[in-house]
Amino acid sequence: LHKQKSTVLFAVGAAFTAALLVHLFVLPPGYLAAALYIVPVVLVARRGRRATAAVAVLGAAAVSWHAYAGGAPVVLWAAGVLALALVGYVAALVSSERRGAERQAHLLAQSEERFRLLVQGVEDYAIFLLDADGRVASWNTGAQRIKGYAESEVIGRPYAVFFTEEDARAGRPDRLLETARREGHAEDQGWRRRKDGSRFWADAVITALRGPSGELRGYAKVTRDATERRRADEERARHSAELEHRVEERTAALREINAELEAFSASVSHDLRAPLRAIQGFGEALLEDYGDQLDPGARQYAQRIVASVRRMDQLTEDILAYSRLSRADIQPHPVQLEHIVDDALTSLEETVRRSGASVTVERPLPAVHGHHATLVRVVANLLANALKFVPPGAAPVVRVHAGECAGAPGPPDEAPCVRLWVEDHGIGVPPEHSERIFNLLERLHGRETYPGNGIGLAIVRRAVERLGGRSGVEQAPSGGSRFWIELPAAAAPVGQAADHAAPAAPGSTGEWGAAA
Amino acid sequence: MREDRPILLVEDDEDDVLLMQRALRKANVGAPVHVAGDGDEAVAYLARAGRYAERAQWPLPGLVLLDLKLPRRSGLEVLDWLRGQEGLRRIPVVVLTSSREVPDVNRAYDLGANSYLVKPSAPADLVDLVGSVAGYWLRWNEAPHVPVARGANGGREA
Repeated sequence: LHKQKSTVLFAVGAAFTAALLVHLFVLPPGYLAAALYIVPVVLVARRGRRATAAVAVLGAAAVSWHAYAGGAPVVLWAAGVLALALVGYVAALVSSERRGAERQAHLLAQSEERFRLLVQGVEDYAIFLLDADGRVASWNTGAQRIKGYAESEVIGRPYAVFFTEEDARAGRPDRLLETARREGHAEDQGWRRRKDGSRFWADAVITALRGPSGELRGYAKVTRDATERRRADEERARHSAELEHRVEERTAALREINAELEAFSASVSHDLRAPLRAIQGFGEALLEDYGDQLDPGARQYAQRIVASVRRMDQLTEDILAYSRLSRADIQPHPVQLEHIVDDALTSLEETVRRSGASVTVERPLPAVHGHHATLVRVVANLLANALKFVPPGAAPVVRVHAGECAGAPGPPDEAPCVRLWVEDHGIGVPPEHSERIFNLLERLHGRETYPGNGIGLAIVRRAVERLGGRSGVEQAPSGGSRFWIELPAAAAPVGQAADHAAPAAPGSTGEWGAAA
Repeated sequence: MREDRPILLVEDDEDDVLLMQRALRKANVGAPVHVAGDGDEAVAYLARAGRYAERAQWPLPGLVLLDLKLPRRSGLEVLDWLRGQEGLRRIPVVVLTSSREVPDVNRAYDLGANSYLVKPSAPADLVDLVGSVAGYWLRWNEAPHVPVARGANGGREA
């Protein structure tokens, strides 16, 4: 509209100016008008308002000629110019409207063309229209590529031809259209049939197309060939199923091995130890019942037989205990370290007395999450070590106390942890050996110096690990060793704390020495 | 000690039998000892089957010392059978074996063992052990009444 107005103003202005100039200079009007009008004509023509320009030029020239030749009054002249302007205005209006319509039509055609090219050109998606009866109404390159039909073959055919026979028979095509009609669109995934009969996995969306008053015009259908993705999914599923199967197989194999191991250790504990027990039994019986009839040499041999077989029996017993630790179902629960240390000391009563040791327990000791029998064995092993590894002739001095766990503190939500120390004044462990002494059958000394089979500390480590803790050794300031175990702390178990509180008042230090 | 009720020692290892007999002698256990060399024989003895048909000659034991690993019928199977027998099921059974394996221990108690002992290696310990066991079960323990006549039906299984 703005453009139309400016065109009219220009036309009227040009005509008026031309007429005025003719009158002012009274020159041969035809030439002057033509000359003067060249400029606006060119201008107007270039802007595509040829009709307007022509009317204005002719009109102004005619009016000027009449006015000059006939000496007409000014009023007539002005009326002529105004009439002329009116004609120019109308002409401009008509012209611009027609041009506008033409332009609209052109833009629409252009947009449609672009859109058609877009749809046509898409190769990865089948995009086509169905009429209200579900017959194919348009086709694109993608549709041809995916479904195999040329446009001419498929236009007008019901879209059910794309479905597998089973799906078509089961009424799936109609159901999808019905869903699209009801809900606006329908989505579907499934096998579809190409023209050559081969199948592909389709990922399709059908949208109902409705006119302004809501009447169904047809459907737009966009289909993607998702066969590759489907295959990848299937492959992945197959892979994970296979993996699961393998894990199951391995688990079964492991279970079998475990069962075999269990059977093996059971048979070791029975069959292998039976003859050992017989050797030991008859050896000792021989010494006991007939010792006085043997000469000293024979007695020494018999004693050596008995000593060796005792060692071997202890070894099998310890190895079995170690292997039981790995297999046993240990369920940690709150236990009192006090009780555990007491029980361990009781089991070593004889050793403590014989060695003349002084054992100090700094009470009270906290409660931990553990397993009573297992921990008694652990603490007894640590105490036995502390009692054993002293310089020849020296009486062992052992101190048992509890403290906080060392090292960087764990995450704030981690359960608090208790460290139990068993500290001695013995011969100590060189730092370079502080890890390997926890290995199975690892020994640092000859059997003649310090008897043992190298299983005690391995049991300590394995047992504490099974209880979710750690174990280790440090050098004590005294030169001896400080063995430690770390276990998750526990609140004092109800009932147990009370019945054990009597012998030692809280905070007191109990002395459990040679005199006890 | 009440010496009218014998001990039935179910043990297949002759070495162990010999050491047990020595230990019983040393511990001054006066009760007679009958040895069953395998599980089937133990069942036959208890059920009065086969050569044990004459009860007067083979009186019911006051205590069964039961090894677990036995030929033909295991100690646990013997225990299971015994605990299923009317009357006979009351006889105290002490498992005396070399196995410390947790499943064996638990199973034995599940099946109704009265006690579970592991054979000690040292003969001196064995003397201690049989002395305590015999003293406890044959002297101090109140023995159940075991009806003799109805105990004979299980022998057919053997």
